[in-house]
Amino acid sequence: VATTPTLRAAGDAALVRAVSQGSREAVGELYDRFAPMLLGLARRVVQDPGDAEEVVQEAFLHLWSRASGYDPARSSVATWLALVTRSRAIDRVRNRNVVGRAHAAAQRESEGAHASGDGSARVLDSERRRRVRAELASLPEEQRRVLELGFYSGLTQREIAQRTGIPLGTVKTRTLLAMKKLRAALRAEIRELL
Amino acid sequence: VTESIDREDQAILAALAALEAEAPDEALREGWSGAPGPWKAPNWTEGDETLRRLYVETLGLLGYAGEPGVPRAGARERLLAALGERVRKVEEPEEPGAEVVPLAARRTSAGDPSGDGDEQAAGEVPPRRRSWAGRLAALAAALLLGAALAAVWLSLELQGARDALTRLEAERTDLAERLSRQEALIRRGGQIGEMIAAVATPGVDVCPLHPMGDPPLVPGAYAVLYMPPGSGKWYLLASNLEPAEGVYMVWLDTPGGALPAGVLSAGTESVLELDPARP
Repeated sequence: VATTPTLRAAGDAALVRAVSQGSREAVGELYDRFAPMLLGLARRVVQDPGDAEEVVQEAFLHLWSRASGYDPARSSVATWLALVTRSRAIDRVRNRNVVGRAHAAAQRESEGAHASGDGSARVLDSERRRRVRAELASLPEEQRRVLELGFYSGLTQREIAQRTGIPLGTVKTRTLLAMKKLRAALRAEIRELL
Repeated sequence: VTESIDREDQAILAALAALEAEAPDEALREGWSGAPGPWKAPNWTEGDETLRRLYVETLGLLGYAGEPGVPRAGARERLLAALGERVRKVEEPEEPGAEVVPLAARRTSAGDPSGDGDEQAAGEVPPRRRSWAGRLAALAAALLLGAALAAVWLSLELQGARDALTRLEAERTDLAERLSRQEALIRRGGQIGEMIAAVATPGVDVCPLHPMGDPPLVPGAYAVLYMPPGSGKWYLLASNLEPAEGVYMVWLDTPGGALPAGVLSAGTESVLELDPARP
């Protein structure tokens, strides 16, 4: 299923609307736009390229079946897909033992690659990625750690407190501080998503 | 300042709640009302919701922190092919030609690697049953609408009938009053006619009275004092008094002073039988 020029020019939310009306081409276009980011996110969570690929497929199948539930007032499409992918990836980590499959998965990955997205989108994503990484890295270690445990490992704040031995109140405080700093630092990137 | 900080913290916690939800997309859609937790604010405002949105997007950006992945060759095509095996959650109206797969088939679909428990919830209704339920609901709605319209129509008709009844009652009352006034006039006219006839009878003592003042206070007024023969009674016939519907006290102007002679009732022409004790 090829992507038409019209779809390529459409906004993310318009594409989700088209998906809700049964457009497979719109799913393809969204895949081209977001699959690299979602694969990166899924891989970081599941630590397995093959599982990451399946997680991303699930996320897009979820999009296909639930597109009518997307509310652009609540989140951007990128965030919506990222949170769904993250949730699926964490479920996969919890439900399956993925340890030991990484080697085989890495071999599968080397079989070939699909180039996705146009050039300008890749540049935009690259810049966004650079900024997010830089700001995440600039956070104090203790703040970044609680944030990453919550986001990439899927731990609740109480679980973070139990695992690290840090008081729950301290975990919350660090999370709040990290979120505030990130939001302030990534203001331009957030605006791009809105 | 303390309150604003608290509210910001609450917005962050509300955004983080989407991470802990089983279905983050539904948690996002439900917004604050769907966010559980002890931080639930009593007066959540549009501004708070906006702040929450900003923090939700901050979380979404964390997806960009990892190395971008490159989909394996054919992954896109496999995804698009798998779409045909999936049935969209039926929230929107059924479209003609849309693929409908029975629920049982969906549950056993080999093309579903996710094992989506949420999409196969026990309470989910198959499309066909939903369609019948929809038709029944539409029929019930149409009947209710019809009943409501009939009630409105009857109410309007009833109100119209009441208005007509009120109008007829007013006209009947008005007619009765006019009839009563006419009968009274006829009765009085009969009496006056008799009196006028009496005044015109030969041998009647007649004393015309003229209005006072120069010019007269009431130019058209006229009165006659007369005594029918053999009656021994004086009568005062007055006409064109103003105001015509008034009640007048009649006084006799005598050398000894004004003496009351009786009350002359209203009318364009009125007759008063004077007190026989008066001269």
